[in-house]
Amino acid sequence: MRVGTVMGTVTLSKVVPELVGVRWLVVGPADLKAVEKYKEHGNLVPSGEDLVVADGVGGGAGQVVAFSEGGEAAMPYMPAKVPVDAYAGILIDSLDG
Amino acid sequence: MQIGKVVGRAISTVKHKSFQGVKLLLVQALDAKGQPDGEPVLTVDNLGAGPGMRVLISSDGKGARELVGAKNSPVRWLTIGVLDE
Amino acid sequence: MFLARVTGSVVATQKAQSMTGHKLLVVEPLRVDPQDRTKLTGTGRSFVAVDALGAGLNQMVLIVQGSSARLMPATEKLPIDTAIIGIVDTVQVADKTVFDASKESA
Repeated sequence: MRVGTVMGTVTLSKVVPELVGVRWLVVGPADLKAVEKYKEHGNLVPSGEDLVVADGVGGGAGQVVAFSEGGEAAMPYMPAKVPVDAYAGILIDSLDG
Repeated sequence: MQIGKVVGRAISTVKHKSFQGVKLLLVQALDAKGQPDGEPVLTVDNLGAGPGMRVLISSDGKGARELVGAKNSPVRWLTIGVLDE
Repeated sequence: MFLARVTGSVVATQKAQSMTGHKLLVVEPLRVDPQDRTKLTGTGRSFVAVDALGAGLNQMVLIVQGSSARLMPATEKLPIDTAIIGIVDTVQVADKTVFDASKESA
């Protein structure tokens, strides 16, 4: 799971049946430099290319999340099979140390 | 598996239920020269690792799901060793 | 997942048998413009995606990649790694609408 900042949201006018009701977040991933600044200033500025993740935490713009990618992203929906390749499963309050 | 440095411990209230009571560490994987390789990843840890330590991390999703004790967890990375300094 | 614009379609008469009858669209991934967070910009990359939703040329779509692309009945038997799972209505970034399908010129 990488960590990143919720930059925004996506709504769909049409979606495959397996994903009806899923909320979508635009997330900008963070590299080590961004994380170090976040620890100092509490503001995580995305450094990498944004992606769209399924929202498992009710995230909103500006919040910091950890998101799974690949096959693991679909695990929370088991035993249903859903075509999801990224899933925000943790809302991060802060980073210690 | 990669060698990484623990760069922080994540504090989280809202999370997938499989992470309840599980320690979450942000780990930066290191390259051959000890420089950051890619973006840091959040790992689950039951070895007592902490910020500043060098650890061995693995992306074995199955092993990570076993660590948290939930088959439906989105977890992927876990610490599997703390390096001797 | 990533946002992408449908830029074309491909036809291959000779193909894996299981692919018969499946529409293939060419898509260009988009990202939030790093200089100007109020707009989306093309990445210049190109993917071919199976379309199970009837997406059209120039429409904005949501794309799933990897093994997850096969986690639905429409694609589970196909040798594919990219599929269209949604047609985008709106994209909001930092409380601004950076894409609105209803305001697109056809």
